[in-house]
Amino acid sequence: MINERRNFLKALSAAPLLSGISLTTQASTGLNQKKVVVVGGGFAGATAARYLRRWSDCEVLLIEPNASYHSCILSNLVLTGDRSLDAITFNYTNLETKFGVKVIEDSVSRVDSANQIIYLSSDTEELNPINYDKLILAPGVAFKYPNWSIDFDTIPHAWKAGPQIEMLKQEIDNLADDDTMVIRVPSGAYRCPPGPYERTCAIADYLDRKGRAVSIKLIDPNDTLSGANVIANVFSGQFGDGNRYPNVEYIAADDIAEISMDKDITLNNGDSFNAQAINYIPDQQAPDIVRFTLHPDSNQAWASVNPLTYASTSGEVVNAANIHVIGDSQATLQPKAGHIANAEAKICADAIIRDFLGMAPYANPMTNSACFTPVNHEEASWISAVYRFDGNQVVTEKVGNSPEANMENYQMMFDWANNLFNDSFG
Amino acid sequence: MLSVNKPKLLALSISALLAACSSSGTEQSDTTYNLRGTVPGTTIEAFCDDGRYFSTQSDHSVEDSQHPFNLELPIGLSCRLVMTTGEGADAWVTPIGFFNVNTSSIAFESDDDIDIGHVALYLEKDPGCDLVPAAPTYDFNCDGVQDLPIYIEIDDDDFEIITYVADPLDDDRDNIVDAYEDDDDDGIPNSKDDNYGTDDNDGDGIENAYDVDDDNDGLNDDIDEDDDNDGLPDDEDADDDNDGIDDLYDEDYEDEEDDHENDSAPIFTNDEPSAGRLLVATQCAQCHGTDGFSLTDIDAIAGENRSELLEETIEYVHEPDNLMGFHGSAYLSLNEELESIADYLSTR
Ligand SMILES: Cc1cc2nc3c(=O)[nH]c(=O)nc-3n(C[C@H](O)[C@H](O)[C@H](O)COP(=O)(O)OP(=O)(O)OC[C@H]3O[C@@H](n4cnc5c(N)ncnc54)[C@H](O)[C@@H]3O)c2cc1C
Repeated sequence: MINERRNFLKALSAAPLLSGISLTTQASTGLNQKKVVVVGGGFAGATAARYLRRWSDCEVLLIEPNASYHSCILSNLVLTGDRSLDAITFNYTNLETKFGVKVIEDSVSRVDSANQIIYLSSDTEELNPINYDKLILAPGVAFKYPNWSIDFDTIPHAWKAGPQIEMLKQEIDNLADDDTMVIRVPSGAYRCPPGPYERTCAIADYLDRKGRAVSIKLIDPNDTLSGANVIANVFSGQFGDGNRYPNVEYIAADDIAEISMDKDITLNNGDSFNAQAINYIPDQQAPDIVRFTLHPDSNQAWASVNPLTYASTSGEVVNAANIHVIGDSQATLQPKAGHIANAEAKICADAIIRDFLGMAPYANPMTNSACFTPVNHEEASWISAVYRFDGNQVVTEKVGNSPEANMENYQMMFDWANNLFNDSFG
Repeated sequence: MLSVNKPKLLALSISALLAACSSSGTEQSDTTYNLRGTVPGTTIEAFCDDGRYFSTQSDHSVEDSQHPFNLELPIGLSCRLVMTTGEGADAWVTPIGFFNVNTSSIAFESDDDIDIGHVALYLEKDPGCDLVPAAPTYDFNCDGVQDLPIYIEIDDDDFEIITYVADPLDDDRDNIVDAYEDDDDDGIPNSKDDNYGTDDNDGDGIENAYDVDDDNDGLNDDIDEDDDNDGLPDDEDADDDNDGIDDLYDEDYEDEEDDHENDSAPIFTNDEPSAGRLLVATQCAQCHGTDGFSLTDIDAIAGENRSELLEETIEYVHEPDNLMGFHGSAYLSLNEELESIADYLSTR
């Protein structure tokens, strides 16, 4: 019995194995005359470049000002010294050498959408236009400054990894007993919705481990933790009297009205106090290159896109033909996160290749988001969501969180991150 | 397949591994180079990408702390070095890393003999050890010797410092090879720690409660024991993926288990755009690796049997606390999508 079945299955599986032999050769979809320019080499842009080249032989130009990319994912562990910044820093060598992506170390200063041309920042006189058949904008987020003055070189946002993370770490390490630290949650849509709460846990746990008695004020204009949502499920029981971090005071539905040079903080409700360390995470919007190109005459913060292709839908306002926006910069209801930015990038890459081949986009794309969030230095929870296209827009199929934080999730966090990093930069 | 060769296995007792390597009788026709240096330490070990392990003792006949050693390593194989000073309970374990102007890493390979010079112990009291409770930053067991790697500068065209996006021998990115993790912080690495993991079936240093793969057979415990669903448990099966090729002769010798774990996905694919290709990329790859070729302890799902994939996904629905259980239940009403995913993965 068993033998017969095995032989049958052997015969079945022979075919895919044979066709598999050609897998190591360059794809021959005949698209080498087509040129895609990708702006930004984060989770969204790097994945788009990688998969455009995995799936076709079209020319891909990736434009990114930094030679190396510091991942925000796992960056809270750098704040607490549990990981080095090096361990979450990637470069573009794999994309160049393995996948044949052309990488230009520069930023894009302007898009001339009517003529399908971009200019680089180093080309100040715009003498070297770069044309494209398709343009993918993936520049992440830009910060909105509050209406009082703030200098991020003295008060870190640490919401893009790299030097800002090191600066915030320095501030945390300088804290002494009885000091106060303030962390501000952005209002409106922002990158990594659970991030500020996760960071608060990481810092509170770190200070506990160091034996530092510091009080932390977490100021949240949105009052997220009082609502019924997955972030509240994971974090609402962490802060305040009788909870894991009694020294964290959650101040909801209020915001910082001003911070003085001496780090005196005034809230909208009039309260004021002095803090020795401040992490002001500002409100966010798509970078100028997205807004000026696609929504020049409005205050729209994020780019409207068609979720089947991630093509811009601002065509009635400007000529937006062949411009796609993926990752944190786009406006669908999907969370602004690296895991799902990676998925959006693949839908966009697939749609572009199909368009080059004269095919319609895939009609039922799906995405998912998964976020492992440590609550201390050995336990983590997960928050996850699945999205699909309902024929009209992106809708949520399912949202959930782990019932508890545990050590198994903490270990799995690295296994997940390693596969995600590889699938984007490897 | 009877023998497994996952890098995770390095966490097995080092001596058992050594015995297995030297007695396995596999012909190793590598060309080798000599890695030389001097150390205060007694033992130098190398952990390499294909799961192989090498070690040597330093020569103590020289009367100072600069004992010379010579380790013969295969050319072109990426390895990581660990130095041990002293013996038994008093042993200090020091990983060795390398840097040049461009990069730093614990992984390296060389095309020619290389002298790494003298590697001194980093002896300095960690200020965090004085705090109550202690909060050390580089000497976690507070024995006066840094536990993190000592980095040595090497600028030599034949010597390549390899940076991985994800190092298969360092799952948690802390620059300490998995074999030398010390999960109970008692100063003895898991692989040599008798007290650790009394509840640890496979002796891999990960307690069963936290081990996604209790028996180290390369299959996550929550999945069945029979990778290809052919009725033969994998441990007795000579052809784990049922591709008709005996595991011994199948594809990459590194993947003896023949399940694509720690294998990489092909770089270019030649397929037409399909629902399955896109859905695997958007729904599976972030956790299970590109096209299901996982590089970590999360299950590889490339090449798995179609009906097994469908069955497992649905079975997970009964484990809503598991992240995959959460995802499995999202596909309950999406049969067509789930089948496209299984079709694509089973033909990888
Ligand atoms: C503390 C923290 C924790 C997080 N944890 C998680 C997590 O657990 N899971 C998760 O999924 N997500 C997490 N995220 C969110 C995740 O980091 C972001 O959502 C993700 O980086 C977005 O990817 P992106 O490619 O859109 O943008 P980015 O990663 O910001 O990349 C944008 C790139 O574009 C470049 N660029 C900008 N302007 C230009 C220009 N004009 N020309 C050329 N290049 C340009 C930038 O240099 C940058 O490299 C976390 C974020 C933070 C802050």
